[in-house]
Amino acid sequence: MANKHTENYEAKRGALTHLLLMMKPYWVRLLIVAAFIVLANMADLVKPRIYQTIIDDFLTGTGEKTGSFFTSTLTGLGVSYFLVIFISAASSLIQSRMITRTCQKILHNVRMRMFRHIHLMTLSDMDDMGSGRLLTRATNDVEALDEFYGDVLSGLFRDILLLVGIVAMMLSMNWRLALVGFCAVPVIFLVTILCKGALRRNFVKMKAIIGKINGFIAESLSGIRVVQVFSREREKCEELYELDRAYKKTTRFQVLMNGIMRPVMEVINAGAIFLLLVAGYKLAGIDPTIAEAGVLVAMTTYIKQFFEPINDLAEKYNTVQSSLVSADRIFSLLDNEENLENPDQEGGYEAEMKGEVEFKDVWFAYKDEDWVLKGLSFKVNLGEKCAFVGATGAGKTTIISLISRFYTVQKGEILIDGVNVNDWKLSSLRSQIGVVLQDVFLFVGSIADNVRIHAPISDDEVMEALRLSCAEEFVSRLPGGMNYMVAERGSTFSTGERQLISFARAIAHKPRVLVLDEATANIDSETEALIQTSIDHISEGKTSLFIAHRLSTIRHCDRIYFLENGAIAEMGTHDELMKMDRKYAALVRAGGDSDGKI
Amino acid sequence: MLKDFFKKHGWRYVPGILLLVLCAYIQTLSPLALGKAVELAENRAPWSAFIKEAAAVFVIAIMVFVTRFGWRWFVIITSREMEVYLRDRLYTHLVYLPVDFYGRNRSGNLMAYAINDVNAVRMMFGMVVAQVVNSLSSVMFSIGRMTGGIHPMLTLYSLLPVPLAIIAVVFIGKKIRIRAKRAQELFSVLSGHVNENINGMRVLKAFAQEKAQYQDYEKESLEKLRANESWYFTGALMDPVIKTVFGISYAIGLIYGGHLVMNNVISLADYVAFNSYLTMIVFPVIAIGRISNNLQRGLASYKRLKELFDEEEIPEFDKIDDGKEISDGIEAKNLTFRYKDATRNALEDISFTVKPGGMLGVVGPTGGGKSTLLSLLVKLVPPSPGQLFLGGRDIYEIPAVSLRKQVGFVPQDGFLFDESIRDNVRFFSDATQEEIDLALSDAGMTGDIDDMPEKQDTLCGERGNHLSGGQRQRVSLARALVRNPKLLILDDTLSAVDTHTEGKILSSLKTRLSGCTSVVVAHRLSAVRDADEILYIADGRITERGTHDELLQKNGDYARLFALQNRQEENEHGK
Repeated sequence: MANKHTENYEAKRGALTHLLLMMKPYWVRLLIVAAFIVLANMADLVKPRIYQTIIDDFLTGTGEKTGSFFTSTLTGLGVSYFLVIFISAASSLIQSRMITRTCQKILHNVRMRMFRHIHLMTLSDMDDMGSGRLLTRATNDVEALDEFYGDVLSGLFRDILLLVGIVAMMLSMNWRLALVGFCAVPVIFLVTILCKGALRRNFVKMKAIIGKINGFIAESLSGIRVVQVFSREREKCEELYELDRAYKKTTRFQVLMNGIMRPVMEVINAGAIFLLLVAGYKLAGIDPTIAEAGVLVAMTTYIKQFFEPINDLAEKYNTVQSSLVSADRIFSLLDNEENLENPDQEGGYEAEMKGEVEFKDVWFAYKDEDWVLKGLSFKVNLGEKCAFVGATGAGKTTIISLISRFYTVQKGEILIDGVNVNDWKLSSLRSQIGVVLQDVFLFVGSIADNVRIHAPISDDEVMEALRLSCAEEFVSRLPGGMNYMVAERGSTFSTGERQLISFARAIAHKPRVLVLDEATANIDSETEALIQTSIDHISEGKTSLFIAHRLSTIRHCDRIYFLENGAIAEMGTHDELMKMDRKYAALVRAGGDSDGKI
Repeated sequence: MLKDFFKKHGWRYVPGILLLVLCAYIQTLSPLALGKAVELAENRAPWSAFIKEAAAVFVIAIMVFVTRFGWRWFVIITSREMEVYLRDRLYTHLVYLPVDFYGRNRSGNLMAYAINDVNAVRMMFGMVVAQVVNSLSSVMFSIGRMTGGIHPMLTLYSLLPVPLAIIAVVFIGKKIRIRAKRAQELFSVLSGHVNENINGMRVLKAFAQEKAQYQDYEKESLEKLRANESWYFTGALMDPVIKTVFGISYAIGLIYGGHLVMNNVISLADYVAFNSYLTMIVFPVIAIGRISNNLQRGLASYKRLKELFDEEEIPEFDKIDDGKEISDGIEAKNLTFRYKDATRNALEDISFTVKPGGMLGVVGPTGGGKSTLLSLLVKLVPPSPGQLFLGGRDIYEIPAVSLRKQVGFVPQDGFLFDESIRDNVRFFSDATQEEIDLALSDAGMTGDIDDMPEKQDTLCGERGNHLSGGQRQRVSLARALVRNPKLLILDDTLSAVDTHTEGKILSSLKTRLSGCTSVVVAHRLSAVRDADEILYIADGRITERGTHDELLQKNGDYARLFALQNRQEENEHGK
């Protein structure tokens, strides 16, 4: 437990160092900012002092003073009072603009570093991390730094400055009265810390419950048909009422605590002011010059100002904590660079791909020693079409990921045109392999954009690709044709239609090697026929590897590999394998699909 | 929508508002007492007179504390209760809204109602009420004291610049809101981009897209930078502007007031108090922006919620179980149905009879009306009287609750809740563990569950996304089976299950459900092959009907579809 605590502490300290280091390039600017912060807060310190001078020198005193206009006449002092306010207002404006500039620049840098990092992460690291967490790192965590730089740093400086300044001013004005006034400070500290702690704990609880409530409502509304069709409306409502009852309890506590904390501060202030007045009265009895009216008024003003910075500090403490947690998450991700991909690695092999694919005794595991491929070897020659068949988990889909080097194999070699994929320049390797994945991902943008994905491909070429992939017909029926904007990741398209678009994508990029993972999901019969034709078009004359789920797709392949337990159990053409009359034949006879489900 | 709430809790606003006014009044006593105490100390007044004023400062603070706590108790807590009340009522309303409502509204929008609008209304009836009353009364009391008790002209002169501050607050406040909104929108753009990239990373990597994406993102990120800057710059303006304007007020108060003291027009105590009153006016001025913003939002939200509450729920009749058992067999007599606001009939002139224990198959192209038929059978959409009968009883006269309790409906998408498989199957029914086991085994899920480390305790994930499509469908089938339905409805339920598992499930259903009537909608004809009658529905009409064999002989659409599927199948099976 204690160990974990120190570890946590270490992590936060590391994060803090990191955050501060990022400000280093801007240190001159930050010094200027600091100077302006001092100026900006001068008003709060000087104002009561001017007030005191007015009262003691003019209203209760003789009214005869020597000195300049600004310090020795009533009007002058009034004008100074305004000037002090004005200068501090202007300084605070300048200060906050400067800090915003700097802070936004740093944030932009962090955002870009993060984005780059995500793009270069290997898929296995991404899988480990989970998409949700990764998204939080790149968005909310970065946003949390905004507060750190923009608010916290200057705020901390200001609060401490104010506290020290108030103490100094009070002491310089009248140290005896100052000491009386200070007796409120520890009480304010204590009450603030106690209340804030309780409030924060309760707030965390409140957040958790409201999160649950929102999640509950979102889920049950998206499943409302199920709720209704099973007549479970009552039960669902009861679930919500239950959550809301717990919520009500936490909000009640919140309201009560808030209702106590701030008003109590004023009671404490008033107590201190009362003591101050009494002390002032008594001291004046000894020597009237000790506690003049102006001093008393100024002192009460200072005492009232104690609360804000203390409250602010308590609040900032929590913001700092959560910023540091975010920062730690960000930097521990960014600092982990060893596994990053390098798409344009120097000296990488770069050439026009011919299209010969060979696996040589390949061993691969996603995790530890959970071998998915166990010494897989095969060779696909130029222009050949090969298919992979086998039960789920036999390693079919893994083959695709390995050819494009989404993952690195642990043992053995994968050669393309006789060159190890690890030696290929990554961008060159991937841009020449056309991968059609099982679940088609469509991006925000038009259909044409989705075919292009940023590559310089002309409209005519896109159209041609759509035609060859048999997507032309349904695309032309859409309003705007290929400029039709894809909504919500293509949820308005059927699985089959999405598949056709992804075929067009593969055709338009003119790959040298085609790797196709066929969709299993429900596709109506007409579309399935289209897909078949489309596949014939794409694979024409290209080295092609099929991960087929319908046996119909692969009957005309040059070779079929039957995978079992990460290795090849049978190979040959359809007819040869049927003649062999072993596992493949059994699968076909049983009428199973190529996933080996019977 | 809040009538009941106000009837029950509305009285709390009376003491709440009284306390608010009282609190503001008491607060204005404090500067006076402080001023007097200082003056008495300065003038060496007798202890007894002095201590009375000094103690008053403290006592007033305590009274402020009490009244403030009091109004928070009455007003803020009530508004919190209103939040809960509103949310509960809203949800209870939502779950009883008919299915066509959900066709018109996305659940994301409904969430916005439940979160943002409820909160905005809560703010309006809580903080806004408090701020309005508090600001108005403390400004009035302060100005009253300043003019009545101290010096009218001094008050007038020193308040002269205040309208300037009000204009600034309103103007800058508006700007801030617009810019904040823009910055927040850009945040969504950024997260949208990252989210899409993370989820589509395989494609991006496969097409070597890092650089292009990077450039796009950089543009967006810079835009966000600029939006943030302009938001923060404007935000930073507010405080200095108000302070400067009030700085003028203070200066006037100090100079003119000082002269008045020196000329003995007002006392030192008045002078000190006057400057405190000026301070008391600052806060309400700053609050104007926030108040008007919250009020506008609250009113808009109130209106939106009101419209939502005005949506008609399903009839009361359908909510109350009449306890009668429904009997088997379905009959449709010239069933015709049109959706609200639709231009053509979704179903037209559909007639069929399913014997008790019989099976009806429904096939046809997407959008032809198959799902509408199923929805009518469970009254998800309201049928007209005299068209659809269950065991001789008009469905129109059977309460939806009673009907649905005895019908097992398996929707196409196999929606599951993020709970364990067991809880999803049980789904509030009183099924025993044995019954759940049996249902899962009949749905062909036992093997899959055995492979899961957590077995039936496996969490299904959001919408069931921890399971494969086929698994989701089978679990939702088990959910229907465990209730021992009188009528089983499968809406293309086994589409993501391979043909062989499908065959096995269908045959196990046959034994389990002997005597249970079933209606099966399917794309894959293998699922309806054994039906007593198959309807081919296209464009809302029955275009072909008969048994599987009869339909093949007709050589129409069904036969064509069969041939197509068969060819694909045959390809799979080899020559």
